Amino acid sequence: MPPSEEGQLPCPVAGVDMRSLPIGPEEAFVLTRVDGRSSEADIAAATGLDPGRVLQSLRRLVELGAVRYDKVAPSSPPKHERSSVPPGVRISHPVIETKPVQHPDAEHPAAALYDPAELDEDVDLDLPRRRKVLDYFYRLDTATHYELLEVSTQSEKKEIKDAYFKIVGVFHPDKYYGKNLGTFKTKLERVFQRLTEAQEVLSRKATRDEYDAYLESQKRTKRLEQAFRGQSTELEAVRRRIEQEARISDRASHAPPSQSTPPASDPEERRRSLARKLRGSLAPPARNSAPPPEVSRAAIQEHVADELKRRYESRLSQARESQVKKYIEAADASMATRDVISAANALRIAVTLAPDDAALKARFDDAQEKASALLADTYLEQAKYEETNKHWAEAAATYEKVSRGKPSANVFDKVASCLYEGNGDLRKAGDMARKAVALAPKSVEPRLTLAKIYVKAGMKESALAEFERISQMAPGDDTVKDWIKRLKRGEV
Amino acid sequence: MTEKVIGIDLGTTNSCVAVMEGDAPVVIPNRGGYKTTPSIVAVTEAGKRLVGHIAKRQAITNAENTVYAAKRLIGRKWNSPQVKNALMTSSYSIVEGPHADVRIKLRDKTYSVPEVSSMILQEMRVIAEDYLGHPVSKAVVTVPAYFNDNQRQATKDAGAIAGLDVIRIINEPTAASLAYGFGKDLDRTVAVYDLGGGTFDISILEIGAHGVFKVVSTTGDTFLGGEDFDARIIDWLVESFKEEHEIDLRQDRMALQRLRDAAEKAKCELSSVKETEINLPFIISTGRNEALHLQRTLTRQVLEGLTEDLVERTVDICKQALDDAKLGVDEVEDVILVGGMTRMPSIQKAVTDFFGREPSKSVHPDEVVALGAAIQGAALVEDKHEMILLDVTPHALGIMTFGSYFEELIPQNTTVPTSRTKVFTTSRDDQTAVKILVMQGESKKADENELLGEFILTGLRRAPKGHVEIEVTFEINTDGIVSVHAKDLETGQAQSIQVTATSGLTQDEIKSMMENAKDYMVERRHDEEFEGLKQQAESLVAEVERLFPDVERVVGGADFGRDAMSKAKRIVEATQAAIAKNDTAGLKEQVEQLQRTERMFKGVVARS
Repeated sequence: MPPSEEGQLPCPVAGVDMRSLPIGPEEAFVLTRVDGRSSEADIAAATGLDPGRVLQSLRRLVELGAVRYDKVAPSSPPKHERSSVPPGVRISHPVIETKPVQHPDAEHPAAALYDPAELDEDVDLDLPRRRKVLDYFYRLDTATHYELLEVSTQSEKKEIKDAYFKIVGVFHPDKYYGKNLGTFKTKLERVFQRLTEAQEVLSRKATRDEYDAYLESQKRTKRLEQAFRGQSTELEAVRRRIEQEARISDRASHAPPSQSTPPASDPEERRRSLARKLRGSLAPPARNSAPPPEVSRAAIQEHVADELKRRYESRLSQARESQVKKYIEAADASMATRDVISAANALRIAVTLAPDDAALKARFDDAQEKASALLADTYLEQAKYEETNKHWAEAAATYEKVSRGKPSANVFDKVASCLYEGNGDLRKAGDMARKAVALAPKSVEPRLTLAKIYVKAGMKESALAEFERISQMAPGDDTVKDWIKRLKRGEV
Repeated sequence: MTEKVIGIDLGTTNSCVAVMEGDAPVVIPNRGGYKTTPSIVAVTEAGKRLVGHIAKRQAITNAENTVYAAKRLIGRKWNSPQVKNALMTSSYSIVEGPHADVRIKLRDKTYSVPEVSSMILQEMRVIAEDYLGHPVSKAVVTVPAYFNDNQRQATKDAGAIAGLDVIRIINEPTAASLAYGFGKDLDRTVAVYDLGGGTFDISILEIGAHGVFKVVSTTGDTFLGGEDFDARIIDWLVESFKEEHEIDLRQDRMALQRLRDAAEKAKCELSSVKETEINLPFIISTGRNEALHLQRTLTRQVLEGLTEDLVERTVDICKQALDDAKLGVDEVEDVILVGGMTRMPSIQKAVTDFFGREPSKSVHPDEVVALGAAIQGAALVEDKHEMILLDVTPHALGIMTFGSYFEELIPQNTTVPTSRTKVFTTSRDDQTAVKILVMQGESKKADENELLGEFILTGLRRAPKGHVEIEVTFEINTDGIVSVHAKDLETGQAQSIQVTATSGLTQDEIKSMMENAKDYMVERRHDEEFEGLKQQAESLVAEVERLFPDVERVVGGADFGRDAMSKAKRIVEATQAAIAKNDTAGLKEQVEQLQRTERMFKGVVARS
């Protein structure tokens, strides 16, 4: 699609996970500035990049299916509208983009993720091999186990083993015995380790089921997150739609307001308008004489504008009310199907459009709470998986998300202990542990986590105090006694 | 052509060497024509070193200076229970070394265990060099799968002392599976049951397309093997002798050595016959100078009763391996038996019963490990072989944390090579060093695991506490050997790591032992050359002397004849002198002279 087509602007495609795209930093930067409202020139200005390069990046993003060119939203109302559901609410029933992302270079899916200079390293590997190593290495964080082994999610154990046995020959360091591998050595080993993990997880039913559930819940939360993120754009669109509706009905019943509108003919009306205009700001007229033609003309225009504005505003509020109504209906429909998230989304929009409606606000708060709890449950599944597989950083982040929806001592403790285990931000770990302690002052676990965090952060006094408190609560615990003894002896 | 890599199975009781010839590995026989060589080292009264069959033959008369089963001590700490056990039962003397390690005293010299093992490796190397006709410097050496890092490291040290570049350490059961499946394009799950002289291993492997051999799980016991079966027989003999004569045969080292020999022999015989006679006349003399004889009949049934619990222990370990692999016994498609002990009928029966199938008969239990090592060696240095070995680490790797707990970093049965990074922070202001204790084992308590080493990160930059973050990478390579690297996260600077050996040898010690070994080899090669020349000279002298009367008869009357004969006599004398003086160079010269004289004498006699 030619980027410069009249009336079309680059828009982000919903459901595309930016992190999964084989793109470079420049394209990613451009992508973050694509909002459906900015033109190529705007993006160039916002990013400070050369417009030619912006166009180039956009072209690639279009090829990858991350960006599409669309008519400017206000001038093209969506065509397929179902009567009961307002147009934008469709986003609230999110569907993950199923169209596969098309790679321009299917053989080197990660080609855009690394600096091509890495291919120039002086090592005993031929170019295709180097390329292959980098293609795998730079996708390690984003590709699923299935994607790395190039098997389908339905593959049997045997297929997975064969796929692994086939690929492992490329990445096992023994294949390059005695060769100079430079930085490729660690890359090979990282890929090898990950491929092995993938095969091992996928070839045992229990671990595979767990992993599938993890992927599934990740997909679900991603969808929900997107639905939440989609809010501001959707709200924007609804606002525009309301304005547009008001304007359209205006155009239909009246001539559009313009500078060339002939002035009103009634002289009394003209006078009144003028008086209104001058009142307060100018000295009251000394004589009851006719106004100078210039002033009179401006006043008339002013009056007409006011009148139009008043009418427009009333239509606007009508349109707004009708949208609010539609969204409430949509929320009811969602609630009926127990789709709490969609209901909360619809209600959020309704509340923003009608901020003074207290009853509506209460409904929204209720739905919001339920949705967050639901999301929190899904996150909890993920966090548990990440925790058991010792992906500490991920687990800490996911538990933190859980804590937003369902704050509890246990969850705060989990955030803290995962940060502790994964050598994450100790200050944050401490904050989280303290929150957990505050919520459950009588339980030992959070205090133990807190004490260990103190030890790790070198805060011996605090650690000792905390351990002593624990020791009073659980006098039989030898481990705690051991800690205290060692802290006192300064053996840390 | 790339240099050939030999594969050495360094066993507890016997060792074996193999090499790849074309596309197939072959076992190299020793000078006596045997395919395996006893892992026995001895030092004679004259200070001469003996290795192999020759050492075994003199073991009874030189029991105190003959080392067998050194492998049971390699990489062990002085205070370990296994060393305590060996102290009780060994006929040679075991002493404490400078690093809380173990040393063996032979005559007036003490040797480290890797040094003793290096003597066996050196012997295997000589066997290979004699066969190949050129020097060998690279080897793949096998170890029991359940060996920990200290034991592997010590084995590698033994290789270095023997002047061998040990390009890879591989696990014995894995090596066996290579020999079993190499080049056969198999696709199956196999169990390798390896009961050797000193250790027991069980490994579960998946063999599949593209020559991939993947170990799924491995476990074992590094102190369970044929030696323990022998010990049961010895106990039985000693006890019954005590009952009869009230004499403890253990107090006599020579008697003990004879018992050991007889027990091993009886055990082997009972694999094919139902009963055997143990007959040791004049085993000991009483205080009244009265000779006592030991004579007992041992039946297979009695032997099986004596060793039943040992066999059961191996079966329990097999169960563990399957559990670790998360496989059912019915998912194992073939069972390979490795190690001499698997000839014992009760073991074959136990394995058959447990796995529900007859073990494979396609491999030779004594040779298969060396063959596998040779295959791995060739696959590494030659590109033509399609083979990848994916082995696992038999023990979890971790560090000691605060409170003497073991924090696991790399779990057991993780495919190697593998690595894990961990960030350490300083806990004091201006702290310049961090100490990390690295250990291996399965216990939650640090002191129940094997300490591999103390790593001290030194020269940290001065900063407030918590401000210096050091990323430490723990790595297990394809040899199953652990290494540690560290990096300052902020400056990216590599941190120096000081390693304190907790057992085993320092680099300097290894270097000096290497020099000793090199000297020994020069001496040995020299001795061998002298020995060869001596034999040649002696047979030439005999021939010349045999021809003397004939030559005298033919040319004795002529002047030149008398000159030649007196010259020949002088040569013979000089030869004898050179032999007496151990003068290799002089002997070499005399041999040439003798050859010339012999030719001349033969010519004279033929012309007459």
